[in-house]
Amino acid sequence: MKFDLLPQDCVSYILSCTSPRDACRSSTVSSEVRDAADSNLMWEKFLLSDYPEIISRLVSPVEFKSKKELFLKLSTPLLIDGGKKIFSIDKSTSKKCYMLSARDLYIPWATNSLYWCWKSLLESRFVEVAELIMVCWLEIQGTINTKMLSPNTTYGAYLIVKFPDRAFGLETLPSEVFVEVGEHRSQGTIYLRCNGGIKTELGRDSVDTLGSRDIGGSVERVIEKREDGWLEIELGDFYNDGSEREVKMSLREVKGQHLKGGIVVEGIELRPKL
Amino acid sequence: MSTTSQEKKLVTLKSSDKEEFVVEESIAVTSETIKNIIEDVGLELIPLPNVDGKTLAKVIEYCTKHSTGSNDDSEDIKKFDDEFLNSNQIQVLFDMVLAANYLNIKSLLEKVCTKIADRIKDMSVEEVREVFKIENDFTPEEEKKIRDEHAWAHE
Repeated sequence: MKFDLLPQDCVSYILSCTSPRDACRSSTVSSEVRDAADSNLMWEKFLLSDYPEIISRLVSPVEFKSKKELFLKLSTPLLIDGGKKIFSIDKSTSKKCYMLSARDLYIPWATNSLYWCWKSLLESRFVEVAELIMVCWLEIQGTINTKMLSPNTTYGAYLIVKFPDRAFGLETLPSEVFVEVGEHRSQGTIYLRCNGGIKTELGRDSVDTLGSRDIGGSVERVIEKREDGWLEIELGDFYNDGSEREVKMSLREVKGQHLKGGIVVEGIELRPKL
Repeated sequence: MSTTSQEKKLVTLKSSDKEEFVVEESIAVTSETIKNIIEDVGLELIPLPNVDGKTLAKVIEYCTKHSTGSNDDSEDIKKFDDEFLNSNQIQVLFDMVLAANYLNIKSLLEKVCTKIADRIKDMSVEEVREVFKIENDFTPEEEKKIRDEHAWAHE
């Protein structure tokens, strides 16, 4: 069998039907495959069709000499839409990911410095994060239009937070989390347990990934550690079929009359769920 | 196949190993290459030196099924495509890609490429080399450099 009989365009086309990960891995097979794997023809397919529009919305211009370079740059988190959001392409699936900054969310009382304060954190990619001083009514909500996301994709929405040492009152009652798109609603509950040696009944640190438990129709979520040092709480998921609709994502603890404080909110991330 | 009172125009396709296939012109022109030859030169016996008889027979089978006027999304067509491309032998798929590319049959090319791509997914570099019989022409240093460049892909 003579693989080298295949025209480079064919090899590029075959690779473009795999994934960016498989295509990059194939670069090490042979020089011929590498050339096909580096071709603009192939990376055009991985790049989203509306990438010129996306580039125009980035806060910092991105320079690139090839479509492959552009893809790899766009697959790193980049500030977009005046810094209110972060955009990236998921390398494995070529789908769009967004993070809405805390400033882009609806947080009741957030403009009142008695209840919430806004500050810059080195660990955040955004200019500001929101830190809860104290409230009774804790509600954090984000919305996004599905037209910004990749069609025919299941997305998960995750609230990105930290708990500084002075956090209090958050775990007294479970918080409700949900994602709503049209008729679809995905919901759960979560105890906002802070880390720092607090054990669960099972004797393990509560931020370990224990997996979610189903409790009578509403899934109990757990807080998961992220690679960037933040924690994330899954609010829910939904399937984007390509029609234009508003997605509402929310966490709230509004039943308890007691004061809670100390949660730091970076934003809400939307990424494809495998 | 639908029957009409009109006589259907026929063409003869000749493979690289001299096998001849008599085909309705309306089916043969699924191939853009053949379509152009007929339009430009008007041949009735069309030599195809880049496709052997075995592969040509399969290509004709594909074109016949896909020119019946039925929707490409129909269950019938999907089932046909699945079985048609269900070959464990990479050689068969390769021959099909070469033929579909040479004959310029876009839909067939896309389907075969996707089929080959499905095999490549999750294959290690060594497996790809073995299955597709590709020789590694990199020096160990060159290979390491490329691997490091795409470290994330090799995790």
